[in-house]
Amino acid sequence: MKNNIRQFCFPASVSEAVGLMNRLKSKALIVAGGTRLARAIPPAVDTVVDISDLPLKHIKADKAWLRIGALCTIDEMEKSPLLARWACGVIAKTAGFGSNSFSRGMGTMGGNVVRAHPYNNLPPLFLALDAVVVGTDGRREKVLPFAELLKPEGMREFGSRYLLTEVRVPARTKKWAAASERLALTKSDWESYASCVVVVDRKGGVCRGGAIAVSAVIPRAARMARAEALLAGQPATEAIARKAAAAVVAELEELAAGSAAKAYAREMAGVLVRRALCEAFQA
Amino acid sequence: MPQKKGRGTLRVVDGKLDILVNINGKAVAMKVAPGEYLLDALRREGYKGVKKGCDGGDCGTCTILLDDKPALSCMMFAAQAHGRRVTTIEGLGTPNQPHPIQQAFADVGAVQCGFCIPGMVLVTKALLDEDPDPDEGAVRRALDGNLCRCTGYVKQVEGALLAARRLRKPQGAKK
Amino acid sequence: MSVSDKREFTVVNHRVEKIDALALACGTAQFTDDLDIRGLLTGRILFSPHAHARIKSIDTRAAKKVPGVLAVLTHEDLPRVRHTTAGQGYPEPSPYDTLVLSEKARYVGDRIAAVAAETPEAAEEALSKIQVDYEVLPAVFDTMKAIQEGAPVIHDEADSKNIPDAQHNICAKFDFEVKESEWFSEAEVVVDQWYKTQWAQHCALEPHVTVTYFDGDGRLVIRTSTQVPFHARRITARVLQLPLKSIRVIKPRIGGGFGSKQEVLLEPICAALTLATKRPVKIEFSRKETFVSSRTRHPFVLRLKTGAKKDGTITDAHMEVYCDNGAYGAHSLTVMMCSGSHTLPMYQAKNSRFIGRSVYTNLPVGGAYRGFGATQGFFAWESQMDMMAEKLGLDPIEFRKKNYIRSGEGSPVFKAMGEGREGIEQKIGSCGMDECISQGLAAFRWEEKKKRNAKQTGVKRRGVGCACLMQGSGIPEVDMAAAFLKMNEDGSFNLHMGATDLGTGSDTVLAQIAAEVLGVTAKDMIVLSSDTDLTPFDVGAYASSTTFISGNAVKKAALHAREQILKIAAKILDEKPEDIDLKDGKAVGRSGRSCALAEVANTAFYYHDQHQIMGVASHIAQSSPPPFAAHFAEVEVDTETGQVTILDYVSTVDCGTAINPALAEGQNDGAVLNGLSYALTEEMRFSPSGAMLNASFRNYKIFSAADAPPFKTILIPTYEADGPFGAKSVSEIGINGPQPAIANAIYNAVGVRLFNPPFTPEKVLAAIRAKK
Repeated sequence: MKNNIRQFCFPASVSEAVGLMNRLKSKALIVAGGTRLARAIPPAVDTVVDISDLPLKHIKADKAWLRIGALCTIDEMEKSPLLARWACGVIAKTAGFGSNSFSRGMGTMGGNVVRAHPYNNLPPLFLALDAVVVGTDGRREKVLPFAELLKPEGMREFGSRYLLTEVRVPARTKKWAAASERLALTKSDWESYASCVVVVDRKGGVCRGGAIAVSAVIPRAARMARAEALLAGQPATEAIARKAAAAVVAELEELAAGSAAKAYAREMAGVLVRRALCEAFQA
Repeated sequence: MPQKKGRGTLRVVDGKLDILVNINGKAVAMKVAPGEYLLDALRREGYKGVKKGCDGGDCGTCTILLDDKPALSCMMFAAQAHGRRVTTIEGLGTPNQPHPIQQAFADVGAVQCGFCIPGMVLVTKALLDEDPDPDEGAVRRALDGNLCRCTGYVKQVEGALLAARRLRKPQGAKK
Repeated sequence: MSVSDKREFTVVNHRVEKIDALALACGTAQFTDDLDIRGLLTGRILFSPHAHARIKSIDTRAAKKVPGVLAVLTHEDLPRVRHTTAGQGYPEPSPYDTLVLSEKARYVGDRIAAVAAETPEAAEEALSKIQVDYEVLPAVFDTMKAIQEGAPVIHDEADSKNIPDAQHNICAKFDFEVKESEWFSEAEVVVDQWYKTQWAQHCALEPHVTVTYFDGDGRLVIRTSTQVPFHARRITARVLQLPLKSIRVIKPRIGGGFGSKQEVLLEPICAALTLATKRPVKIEFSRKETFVSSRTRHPFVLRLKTGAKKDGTITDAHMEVYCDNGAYGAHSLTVMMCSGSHTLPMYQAKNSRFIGRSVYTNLPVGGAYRGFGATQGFFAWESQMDMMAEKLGLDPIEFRKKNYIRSGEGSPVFKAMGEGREGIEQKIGSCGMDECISQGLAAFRWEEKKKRNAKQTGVKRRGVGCACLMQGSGIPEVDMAAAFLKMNEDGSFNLHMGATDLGTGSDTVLAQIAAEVLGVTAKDMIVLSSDTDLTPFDVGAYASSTTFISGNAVKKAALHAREQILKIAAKILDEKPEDIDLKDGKAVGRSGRSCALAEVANTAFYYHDQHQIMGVASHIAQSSPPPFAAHFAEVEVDTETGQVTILDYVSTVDCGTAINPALAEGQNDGAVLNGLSYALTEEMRFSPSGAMLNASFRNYKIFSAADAPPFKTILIPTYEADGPFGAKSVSEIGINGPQPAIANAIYNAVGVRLFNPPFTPEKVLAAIRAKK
């Protein structure tokens, strides 16, 4: 393949890696899990920085946060006992949706979120869980609400200036009810019509609040604010789930601005949200 | 091989990179092009059991074990294998001395055209190393990245389960 | 009983290990690209970006200047020989409408130019520097619009041959009628329905690949992933105007074909590049190129108008098919005809009519694909049978039982419709359909499932459906196979045959047949197949012919050798040849005295009646005995999303004697799973300008091990008198069942019928909505 690569670097520490990024800027191509980033290597690239040796494979919790290292594979997330207990195990359950053994074994958390393709599983998950994304430029840590990462400027910053080191999920979500749904042609199909993650903070049959994140049907995973507002203070019933689902479809229709394309997928997003909410209510 | 202080830096000299990879237990020095994928480099070196079915990470025929874990050799640069352990199908067994997984696949009729089989055997090896007694669901999930158009996967799953049983039995015991 | 008619076997009908299984599992077996050839050049093809365009000029000067580029070819550099890429028997019943490199672009992916270069990068760069001046023409992408007056004419060239009506884009036509009474005069119930099937791709895991080079004697060697080595030699020689004897075609291990490699696609281009450069050249399709520029399953538009009496007797069958062939007419007549010739004889109607048209459009080219038209035909037929049964108030299985063809019966269709020509008169010999149904129903627990599903409420609904099927075994009086074997002094045999093992296991199955005749094990057979210099002729691996036709050739060759062995053994044992049997590697006399085959071979080499013991035989079949099958599906339909989940699937298949039950099951398993994803997910999608949108395994979804539902193959043994040791074919039939069985099960579950596979959630939900 035509390219201008002059060297491969294998940094052993985060500071070494960030040092290379800062020095080389757009000349550096960061690779980790082995997912092929591009068929054509940009001509500006002269250095491949393989960060797979960095010590960023942790999954641990402290008082404030659940912390997932950027180099954790999907496999490791699925098998983590800590994640299996967190928010009804929704992270462990959802991480491997629409995958195969290689995307689970080679694909990393960091790769899944910085290349936030609408079919990727982790962005809606982290959005719903109010996660923050953490990066470093070698001098200071940068903490960004997850939704900011999904914006073009967030992506740009984390693609070049900051090395994504971990995602942090607030400790308060640990006991929350959660569920996820996905509609695709087959289990291992990476593409899907729609997917969603819902999280509900519930006490005595009443929702104190909740989060609904939808993806695949829209270009970037997003929270459905109006539907979420409907949940607050309401009894956790199928009726409220239906209302919230209808609001999701309405919000998606507005985003689509009358386009007939994907009408089926938008409607299905509603079905999935309703089902996920009902499941979460019963959890 | 460089271990403690990381794998350092490789520089292109005369358009090539010198890399050192442990392949099937042997240290192999290779000259690779900077944009070359590991699949192409391995095939060039004679490891023809590593197949090119899609060259895009979707079929699993180019499977290798990288530090004992299944990986797609078409999805990584050859240079990324520097300082790591690679197992190809050639590292498992030969027709005269097959690995028990290879023998089990042959015994149950899991091999039709055989283009996907090296990848499946390697994935099965990694699975059984981690879990010597997987159920059918675990085998199917482990094999779900290796596409096959000939068999319907029925006999490969059977072969993997048979291999697991045989490997669990003490030496000399029959089926 | 003579060895030829024996019913108790020692090698045949046993689960013998596939002879190349371990070499394949160990990665040592060599596929086309697994040989290192010094000085090998990379060949690449420039494909058309336009669906329909006239080439005004091609400028290759800049491409030729790229360092490392040794040849750039266009249609102007090659002999202008119209041919078909379909690897069929000579003369091929497909129109001669193709040039190796096209003078006009007829689809996005048409072959315009070829380059050979020292490196892939140089080849790539050269491709990008070829300047083609296209005059873009209006294109047509719809089967039914293409045959209308005023549609763009895709083949307007003067030198194509055997196109029945190029002005209306009709590349093949066939009509047939038998009529005993006025049409529909006796019918008490009539169902008239249109069906439409989709574009699909074979998805063999090994892409098409060919390597060509000159050997030391200056002969052109073509090492290629093909199902048809002898046709590849003939067609390549003709289109490049080379003496046939200057070409040797070698088929190494093949990574699956399913019909896509019954096409002579890369051999002539690759050979032309070797001729131009005098260097070895390899052309290997990328996965995307395999999707777009190899071959596809022809999509069909079908109409069935059928009539029946109240008692369930089928009176009338009107079948009308429009087969979309894409830009060239490969297999246009034969696939179209097989949609009728494999289905119409299944249910006996007094009045039968078939109207078939194959149609050019500006889309990728149809070709042979496992099932070969019968797949599309049975989707319509087996859906129609359920609709008729419902209208008649009959159980769908009883309705089928009342009508399907049985042992001893013939059909006028057999005579009227062959493959691309008249067929042969034949009566059904073996037919295990009754057993297929009864054992299938029991294994599937049909009644129990029906009962359980009778009272359903809720969002997810279950349903069951069935389909009954037949296929053929080779093309009678056309397909010829030959084999020879010679005996070595250790009592082993070299078995040389033209038959082509493309992963199916035919090398093993044929070795078993020879071993059974000669009283040895399959491991005593050293098999060499598919080398046009070293093996006798065989038409190749298609039309479900190998076990039945090549198997008979091998059996005859083995019998021929056996005769010679018995004569020598008679001398050694001092017995009559007719009193001697061959078993366990020995010749055993009536007295019980025996001698090893090694002794027989040595005697023939050095002591008595000195000669090489070798058997030689050819075989051509006078019949094409159909295998039969019954399929049963249970699905669950999510009525809110339309998603269909297969809960259980059982297929029973009567393939006569299964020469190797493990491999026969494997053939059926593979065919069924391919059929299941063809029913639910597989579809080539195109942009409004005719470019394929999902040309990768990521976007064109075939089932993985985790996606595959639970399914089971049950072999139903029968004995086919015309087959070797009772065998019929098995490889194709299984793919015909899933689409109709699932369509019927969906109807049973939610009361909606789908006529346009794949049955995606979106379509199923729309149908459910439309019903309400």
